[in-house]
Amino acid sequence: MARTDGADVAERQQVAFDDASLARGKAIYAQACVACHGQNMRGGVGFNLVDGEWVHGASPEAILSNIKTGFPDRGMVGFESLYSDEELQDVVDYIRSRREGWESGRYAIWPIAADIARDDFSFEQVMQDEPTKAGRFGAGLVDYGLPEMENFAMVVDGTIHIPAGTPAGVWVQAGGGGGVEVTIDGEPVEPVYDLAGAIYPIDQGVHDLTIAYSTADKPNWYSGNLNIVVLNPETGERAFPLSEAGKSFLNDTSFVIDAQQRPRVIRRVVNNLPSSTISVGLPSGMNFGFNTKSCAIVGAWEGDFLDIGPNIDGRGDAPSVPLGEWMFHEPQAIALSQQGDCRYVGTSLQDDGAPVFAFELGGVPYTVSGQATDGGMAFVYAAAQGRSAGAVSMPEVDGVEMRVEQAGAQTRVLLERTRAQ
Amino acid sequence: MRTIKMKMLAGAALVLPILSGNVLAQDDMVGNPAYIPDGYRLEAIALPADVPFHATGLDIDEAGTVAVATRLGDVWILDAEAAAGTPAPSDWTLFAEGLNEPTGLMWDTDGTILVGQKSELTRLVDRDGDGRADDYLNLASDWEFHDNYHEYNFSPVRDGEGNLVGTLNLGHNVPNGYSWGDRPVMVSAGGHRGWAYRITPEGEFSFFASGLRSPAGVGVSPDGLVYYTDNQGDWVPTSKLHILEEGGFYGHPSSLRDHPDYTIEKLDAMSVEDFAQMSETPVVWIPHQEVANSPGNPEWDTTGGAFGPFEGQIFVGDQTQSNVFRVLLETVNGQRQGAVINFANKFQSGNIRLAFHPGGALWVGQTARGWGAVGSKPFGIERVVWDGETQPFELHDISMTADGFRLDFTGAVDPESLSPSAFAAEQWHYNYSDAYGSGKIDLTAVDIQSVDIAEDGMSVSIAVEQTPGTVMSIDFSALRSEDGRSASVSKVYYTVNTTM
Repeated sequence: MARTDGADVAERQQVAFDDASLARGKAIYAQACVACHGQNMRGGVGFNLVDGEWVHGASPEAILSNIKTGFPDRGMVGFESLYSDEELQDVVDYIRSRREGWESGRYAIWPIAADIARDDFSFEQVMQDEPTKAGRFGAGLVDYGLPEMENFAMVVDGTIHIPAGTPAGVWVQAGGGGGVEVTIDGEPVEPVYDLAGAIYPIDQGVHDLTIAYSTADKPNWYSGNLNIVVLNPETGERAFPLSEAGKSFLNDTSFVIDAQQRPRVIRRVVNNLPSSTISVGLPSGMNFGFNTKSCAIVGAWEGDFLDIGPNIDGRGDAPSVPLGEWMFHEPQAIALSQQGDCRYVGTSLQDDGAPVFAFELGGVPYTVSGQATDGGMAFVYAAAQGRSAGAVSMPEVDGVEMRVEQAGAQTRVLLERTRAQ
Repeated sequence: MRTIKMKMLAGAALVLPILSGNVLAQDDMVGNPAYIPDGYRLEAIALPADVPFHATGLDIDEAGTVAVATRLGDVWILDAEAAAGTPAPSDWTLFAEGLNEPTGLMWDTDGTILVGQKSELTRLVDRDGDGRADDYLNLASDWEFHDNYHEYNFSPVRDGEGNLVGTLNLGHNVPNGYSWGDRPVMVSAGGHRGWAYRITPEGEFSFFASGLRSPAGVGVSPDGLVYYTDNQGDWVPTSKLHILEEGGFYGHPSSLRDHPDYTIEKLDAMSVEDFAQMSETPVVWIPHQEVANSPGNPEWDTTGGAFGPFEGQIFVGDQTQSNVFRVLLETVNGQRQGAVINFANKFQSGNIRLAFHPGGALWVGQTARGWGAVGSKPFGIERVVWDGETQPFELHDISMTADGFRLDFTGAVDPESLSPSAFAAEQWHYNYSDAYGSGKIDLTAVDIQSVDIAEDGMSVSIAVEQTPGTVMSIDFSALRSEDGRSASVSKVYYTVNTTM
């Protein structure tokens, strides 16, 4: 906490290595370490080596000793019999030179008036008051979702590590520029602008970085969730995130659940499907949604099932995206014509993993499942005790033919495209 | 103009306000050196490769089999043998998948698993015994889920009467959401958001308590009572632990839109004082930043001493602080009240779920997605292990006396280290309102009038004036054990609801 008066600057582990040592370390890393710790050192089977989290000790001595003896019970062999101490010291230097991101980051948040103009706003005035929230994010990422209010000022500061090797800039995307003020090592920095944000140039090494942001004059469409990323200003190549939104931006957030090998059953928030829908992907590439509140089929689509990435990123406030082409979706639905309150009983997975949905309608138990057919998909309804499931209501959908077949006690609703997409 | 402003920013004007005053004084705890009692260590548990393993549901059965529900929607099982030793990634097996962001999980006595999805409380049944769930049965889904990210279903636990109990989070930025006043944070769009529900052994469902905000942790005491934690924010001045009872109102008005005695018009006409009058009193307040920001489930140490000297006490993890703290309860004038004290920090990610393994280790389920945590790993599982030998020197318990408090220690205190000036006490209270959290109100130092040590050195009594409706912190960092040790944590926070 002494960093305000600069007292702890001397305690920083300044990273000043000689290039020849780094080159030797890099070569050994590529042979011995890359398989477990990854090309970019961000981890794999082994730990992430660039995030400043040293589970087994952070000092150069501890890192060297750990490389030498390894962790045999955790799958890391000791390297002392394979390389000399000097060689392993080169590896330690190389790894330490690659450290990136925040160290001991902090934030403080103040509410501001909703209607304040940017020209009337000043950080020093707002900061006369106690912040309503303050805390640390250590070596993690700053989260501009923390204010949980529409109008706020947020000041973030901390020590930042910029790895050697390529030019770097702190790229801040703040929905229109000017609400951001950045200082590096106590000096204000004027940005250069690219199409999407402002870039504040920064040198390799360890720096004090302060980013002050206010929502004054924020455009309505902008959430205030700042996207902050370190990038190479010459090439635009992105290196690593400093904020949660920056991480989402860097990660391709897609997380595709495909059903090619086996049926998949997923209960998540999905675009165009009502809440409480269970989505099903079949290996044939046909997919549908069963709504547990209405006991109706509320959507069907052809394609690779679901990208749930947006729904498992950050707080998960964006819906999953169905992949492919809709045949129909809510408010269109396929449902038994039988009137009565619906009660969803549960899902049973068959041996092949395909789900059968059980529900009661007006107190009468039914099941429905989806099956691939030669030309499309069938929804198979059955009632308890071999009784007929009765009539089904279906939507009129352009380019999709739907028809009902009775097969014994089963009612089958067949869907086929009549027009290629 | 611009340059001048930037200069100001670069200098003291920018940084000092963050550092000065209460907020940052409290915040100091966050970056403190590690605290953990002597003889205890943290162990990271190896997890399946390439799986986002945000562990938000965690339970361990009597045989020691670990079951975990993840925010991705999986349920994973770690068999008892692996869990008792050093688990490898391949020891985990996938039991179920595709669930809607579950935040609770419980082994039922028949070997099925109950899991709290956002939209449903579900029973998972492995019909054919192949280690994979075949049936996903709807036990309850009587609330509304509006597709909002914040609308968690923290469930289930089973209370002493056999009821299954869960709590429903309010939403954030939900269309048509209601919140009293003009600075809404957490809202209800209806459908019993902010309520607790239960299902009787006969299968009867009801909503039985209201006023919950972010009730992220539910637990059942050995005597069968349901306790829950709520997270600091609007109407919750600092995080807190309550006993959750039939008909109780726990402070957040948004939930009352579904209460049969209220309408939105009626609620709008009410005052903060009205809501304060109706609100239940927590058994402990949990000071923000210093102890916790986002506490998870209360977990009782019933390991019979296998976890060390804290048998019978409550442990709670905190998602933001990546720590674990203890809750020390007693009954005074028929009311439950007590204290909180930190136990261990420097966990790798945000601690949301705790469960004791029958062998004595405390397992911790972790996530840091969406809400930051001091520990920077995005997810994980760790366990706290006692070595079975080392006697830690810590505050064991605290109890109110007629003229102060008695502090019991896990080892004998060196009488030489004892004097009234060896203690520092402060008291304050919190301001209940729709504002996001509260600072310490009327923070004052309290005189330690006298100290007295028991003959065996194991407990120290202090005389101090107690004020109902306050929290008192007692700092005893000057105390030393007979063998010269200081406690790893030397500040305890007692919630004085009533005095003797």
